[in-house]
Amino acid sequence: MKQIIERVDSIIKLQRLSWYFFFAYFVVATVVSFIDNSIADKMAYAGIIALLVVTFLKALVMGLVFQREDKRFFSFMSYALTVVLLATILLKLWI
Amino acid sequence: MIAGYLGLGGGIIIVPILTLAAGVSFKTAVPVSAVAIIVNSFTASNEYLKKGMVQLELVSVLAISMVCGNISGAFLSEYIPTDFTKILFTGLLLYTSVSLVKSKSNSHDAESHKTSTKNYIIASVVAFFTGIIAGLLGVGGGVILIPMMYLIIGLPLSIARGTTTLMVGFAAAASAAVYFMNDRIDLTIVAPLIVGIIIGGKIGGYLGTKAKPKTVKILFALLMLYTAIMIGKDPIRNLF
Repeated sequence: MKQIIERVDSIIKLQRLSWYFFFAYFVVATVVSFIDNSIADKMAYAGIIALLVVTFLKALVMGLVFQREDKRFFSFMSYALTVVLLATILLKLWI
Repeated sequence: MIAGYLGLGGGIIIVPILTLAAGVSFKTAVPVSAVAIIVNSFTASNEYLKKGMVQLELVSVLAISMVCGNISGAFLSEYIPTDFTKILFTGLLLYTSVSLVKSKSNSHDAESHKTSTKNYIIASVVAFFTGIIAGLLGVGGGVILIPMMYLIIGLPLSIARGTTTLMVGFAAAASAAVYFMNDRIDLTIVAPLIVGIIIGGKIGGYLGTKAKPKTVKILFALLMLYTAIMIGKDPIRNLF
């Protein structure tokens, strides 16, 4: 059990940090929405991009975990996932 | 909270609440729920990861299949009639719900349960088609995927829930990105919804790791029946 938790420790840390950040960020965005809706909308827009970027990072970390364990197939699948996710995010930013 | 407890993304709960209780249109609720599922995955899956209830290898294989299915589904949603998808989903839910109740329990932990190559392939195919339906309806897909993994590849419900909670975050991110690309996300309701989801997901995820398999099975079957009724009643009424 200890081994299982150790291997996913980096994912747990990333998700915990994201949890703190997004909670604080969207609480502020909700409060701002009562004052100025346009600023709150911009915050929500940036927040969604940040959510997608963190999800991309999560897949990358997962790939690194498998790479460290020399599980090539699963590492490849995780990196393929990052490529698909990154492609969709970049499409939005560049189109 | 309910989604986190059962290991779901939360779309099947968020979409009906937004449409029925908050008066938001289905076309608006679906993209917003995709964003909410990403957040719920962050919060709830951490609880399952800490308890060793996630099979990371399965996450990597299923996520890519489901993401491909989800992107296809999100694009197809422009062309396939919503009523058709709803009826299809209702049938699938009813069948899975009955099968789940009739099935026998099995319990292992992530360490002792090994998934064979054949099961990885089966699970990938199931995840791809679940991803298409999920993308069309804006749900995470967990409500179908969890029982399917339990019934088809014999994955214990606890591991299936933990694995799905982490995996649906990736799938939802792909469909949210597509909706975002098409400017279909209503930014005004995103922030308050996410605040609620973060708190609920944390509590639900924590309680979910302590849930008894039999309780989860019954709750799952009931949730599937409820979802089938909520999603299927209008399109079925329109048929007659």
